Amino acid sequence: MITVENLVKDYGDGAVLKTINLTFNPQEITVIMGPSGSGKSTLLRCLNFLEVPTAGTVDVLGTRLKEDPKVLESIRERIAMVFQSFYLFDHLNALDNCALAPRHVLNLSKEESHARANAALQEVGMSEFITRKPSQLSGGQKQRVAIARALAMNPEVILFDEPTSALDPENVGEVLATMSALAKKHMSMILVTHEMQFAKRIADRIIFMDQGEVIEDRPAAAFFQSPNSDKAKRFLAHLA
Amino acid sequence: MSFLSRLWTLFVNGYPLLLEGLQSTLLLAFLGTIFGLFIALILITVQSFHVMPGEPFITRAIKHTSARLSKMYVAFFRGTPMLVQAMVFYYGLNQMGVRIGFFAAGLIVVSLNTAAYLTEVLKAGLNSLDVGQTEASLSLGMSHFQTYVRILLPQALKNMVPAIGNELIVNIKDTAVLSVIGVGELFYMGRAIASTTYRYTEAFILVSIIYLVTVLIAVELLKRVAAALGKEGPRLSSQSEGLV
Repeated sequence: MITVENLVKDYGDGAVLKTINLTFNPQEITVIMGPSGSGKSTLLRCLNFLEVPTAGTVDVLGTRLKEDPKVLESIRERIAMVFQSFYLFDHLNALDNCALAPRHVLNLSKEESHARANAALQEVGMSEFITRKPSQLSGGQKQRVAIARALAMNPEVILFDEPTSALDPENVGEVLATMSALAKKHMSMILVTHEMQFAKRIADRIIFMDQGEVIEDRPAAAFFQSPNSDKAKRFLAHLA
Repeated sequence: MSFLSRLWTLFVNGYPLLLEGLQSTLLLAFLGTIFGLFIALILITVQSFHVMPGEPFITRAIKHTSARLSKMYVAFFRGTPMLVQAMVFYYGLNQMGVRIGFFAAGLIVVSLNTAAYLTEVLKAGLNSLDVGQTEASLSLGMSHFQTYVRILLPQALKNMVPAIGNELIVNIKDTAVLSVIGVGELFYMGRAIASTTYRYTEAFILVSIIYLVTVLIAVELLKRVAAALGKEGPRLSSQSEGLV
């Protein structure tokens, strides 16, 4: 589904990602973990070219990504992203946040895009709040709308970039519950998260990164039972 | 006769002229700001084109050139006094054999000048938006242009309502310089009254009072517009660039 080969990202002061090779499979839930600064968010952002790699290739759904707007737009409409700070469109209410891309990217009719948006908001339990602007929502509600915005595109995979890190503790649960429900439906998901218990519960596969390198890439159960590397052992012990 | 009663006599005798002048001033300021905003939207849009290495050479060349021209335009109109722009424009057209009315000439100059300032205002508004707004939009498959039109511009415009209002107030006052090319606005009428009555001080104080009252009313109205949009309106004090 997504193949990354010899991926390097260097901002000019040392590589953030050092020759990454990975394949992500359909209907797999992959959690990328690692200490801060390990390059996990950068890796995730390379998968839809929000971050353009310095070297290497990224193939998504059979297409090699390059800095060509047509190529990127056609791929991005099929892989959604959920951000740490939600990034809801501040001038639009929850419904329009979710209906905008179906309407103008997928070129659905107004009715169809609203229907999509409504269905997606219902799926995340936000039906009651469709007319609210982002400023009138709590952090957890905003993130649920952001997930609905992604779902409304019927994406083939969703990238989650630390979706609960910016939330107040009391809001984390509702967002994790929303993501768990998606996982149960076998949505293809790639997540960067620090929520260890959550990862243990839903992940099929763990990629553990440190200092721009993939240290471990194993089935989740095996990883949590006995991490191979000392780094991962220390990381898990620290979070436990 | 006391000073105040001289002022009053002047007002009573001169008010048809003053009213006519005020009408021109308001029309110039209002239309100039509106037209200026439209021109500014074009100028800032061509400056905001996103250039990607994967695009054809000709596309990139057009984007680069139009952005450069837009920046030169802004630099010229912000870097020269409106008084001088009015002179160049009016006499330039005359020399080329183009005859247009005083008012039309004045309106064009105010609009072109306002456009340059509002372009900078809009640029600041766009720059103040979180880059995440752009990233979220692009991640959904929206193009850079769609992102600009549907996400960034509406937010920048809304945030910039107070600054646009401020520009209107600046225009109410600064259109006075158009009297040099014979535009019959408020200051021009004041000068006419002064030179026919020889009451220079009184005439110009009278004109000042009319400007002040007009501006105060405009500020109040703009405050209400801004409040309706949930923004803080323009203020008469402590403006950094507004010259109010």
